[in-house]
Amino acid sequence: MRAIFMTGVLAALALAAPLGTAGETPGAVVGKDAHPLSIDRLAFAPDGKLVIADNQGAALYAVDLPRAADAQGVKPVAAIGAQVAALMGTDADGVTFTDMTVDPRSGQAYLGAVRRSGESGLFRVNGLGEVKAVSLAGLSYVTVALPNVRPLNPAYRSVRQDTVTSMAFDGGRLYVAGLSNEEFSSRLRSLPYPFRTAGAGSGVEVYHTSHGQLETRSPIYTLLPMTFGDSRELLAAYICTPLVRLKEDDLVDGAEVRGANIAEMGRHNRPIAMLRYSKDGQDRLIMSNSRRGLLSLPVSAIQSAPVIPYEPTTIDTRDLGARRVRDMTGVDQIALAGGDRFAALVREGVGQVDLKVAALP
Amino acid sequence: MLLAACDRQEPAVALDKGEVVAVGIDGAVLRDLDHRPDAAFTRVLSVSVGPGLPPLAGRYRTEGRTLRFIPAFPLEGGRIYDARLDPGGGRPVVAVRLATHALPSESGRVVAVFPSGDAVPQNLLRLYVQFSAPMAAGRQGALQMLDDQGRPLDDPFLPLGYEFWSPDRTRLTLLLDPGRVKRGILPGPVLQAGRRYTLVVGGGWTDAGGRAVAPFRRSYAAGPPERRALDTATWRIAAPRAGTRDPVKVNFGRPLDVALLRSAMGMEDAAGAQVSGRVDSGPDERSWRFTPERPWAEGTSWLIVQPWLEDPSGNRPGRPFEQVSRAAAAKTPIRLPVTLAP
Repeated sequence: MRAIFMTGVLAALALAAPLGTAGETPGAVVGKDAHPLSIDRLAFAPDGKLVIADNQGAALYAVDLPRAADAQGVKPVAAIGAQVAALMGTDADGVTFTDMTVDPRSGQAYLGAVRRSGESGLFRVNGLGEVKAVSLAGLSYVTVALPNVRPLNPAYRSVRQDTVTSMAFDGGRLYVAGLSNEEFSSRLRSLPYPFRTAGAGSGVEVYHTSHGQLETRSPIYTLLPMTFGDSRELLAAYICTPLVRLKEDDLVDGAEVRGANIAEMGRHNRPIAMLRYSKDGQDRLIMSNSRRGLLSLPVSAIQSAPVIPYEPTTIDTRDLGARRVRDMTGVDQIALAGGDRFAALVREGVGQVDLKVAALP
Repeated sequence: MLLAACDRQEPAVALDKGEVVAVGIDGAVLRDLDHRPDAAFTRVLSVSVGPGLPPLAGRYRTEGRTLRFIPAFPLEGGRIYDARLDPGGGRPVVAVRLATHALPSESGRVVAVFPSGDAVPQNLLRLYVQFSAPMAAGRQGALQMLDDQGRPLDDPFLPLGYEFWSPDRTRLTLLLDPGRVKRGILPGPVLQAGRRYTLVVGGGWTDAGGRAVAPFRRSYAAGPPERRALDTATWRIAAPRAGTRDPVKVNFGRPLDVALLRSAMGMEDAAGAQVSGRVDSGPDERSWRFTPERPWAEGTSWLIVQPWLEDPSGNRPGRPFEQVSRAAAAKTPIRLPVTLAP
């Protein structure tokens, strides 16, 4: 295994031309000491590696984290924003959290954060509620590039950037939804996992028809794999704000796919994260939203929901009878935290973020 | 003798090239730190942003009798950090305040906003704000769109919870909520034709160094919606003479997206090779000028247009932002001949 050290522009160049060598995973790059330029989205892979979406470096990293030896599980942390800010050497309003996930092996929570001056950091919360910075030094990783569009003019240094809005694992694949900072389209990529290919391909353009007879390229904000009988599907939540079912078999590179719109979660609302869980023998879904707070609904409601017809009317909210979880507001990212609990990053105000752990509704 | 001299060195802490160094530590304490976890080092030397807060993340290194703390995140300029050294050997704890270098007094500021024209369609989808220096992340809340009564619009921008910066964080892409750009969605579009709006970069926004950005205002007149697909057949292309470095000029007859004019259009020479050159967009981004680095070769060059070229409302070649069918949409690059006069 070869150690690859990458910083700044060099990383972007190296990732644009992956350096697969003999003995390594073909196409993907294997190395030690990952230096993602930014830590934007986090997801644990089925093999226990932490996948980091690095939007600035236009890459995904699967990092082999050591098994945490300290207290397993996750405890609530009041003012976690101030604590992470202190670890990053700045004040509480100088830090923004980018994502949170829970390691299914240790039950510990992992958080991405970005400092005002642009540096990204990875943090871990253990079963004692201790917050620790996670260093990627010495850890092995596999990375794949998210190919950027090459400008037609060789003299132009592009500032176009793809942004990963959501990642989800299912059936040996990683699904990655994204949006660019220039043209407006919803792009969904499907990568084999463990990473093998040199890049993530051109992806699939996803459409859904809503709000009358008009198709939209609105971006997917969050994804959740679902299996209905033999059918593997992705439940995709869009910005404005339908819930759409996509068949995984349709997501072939280069395809244009139309999803089946089954719900509208309310205008001006942004779905943030969705989790599936089981409680009292019922398969359920919990969803955090920017405007409508925390919503909970049975999966059967999704399975049986009729596709919303392409009617020339305005649809306000068809939320499949979702129930508002009233005792939690300001919820941002959520993650299953083992047993019947979930962890939530909760915004209490400017620069005031708490990590809460609560029973699933 | 030298060792004894070192032993008598007064405990002290100082900044050194973005790292924190401590001297005067008891020899036994230093030896004991070898191969210990970072927590043990932190008990001897810690750096924090203030009392009662956890110490900065970082790693430690011993260099002879010096202990060095390398912060995981660079120390911020213009800030005072608290450092605490417990040198051991019966010597008292040293608490000092370390001031990092002052920031340059000039803060980042807005240098341009696109579209650059005064008039925008009411279904405007995208604005770019260009700053003079890298900006702080997570501050989009300091942006407002005011109506002609000076009242801020309710959530005009796409509520992504994510900011679309250029990699150097000098250009911010603002997306107006497409749920409100689209037809038929209550409470109606963000902008209404016939009214004026003002984009305000207000207080609370800082650059990457934490300095406040000078307030900035930019006013637009909203006009009728632009729902037409781009039609490259209507573009007027002025070809230069072969052998010159004169620009190819293209007039679109309507404003296009300033960023995509650079990343989604280009020139190929008669042999099919991409041409390097400088792109300038004209007033209101209604025209495009491509000046090659080397003189044009004879024959027909080609203007290449990617299918994802858009106007500021998201309309593309053959494909309006809102549509029932994608049949007319361009799927591969469009090639327009540019015949160079000899």
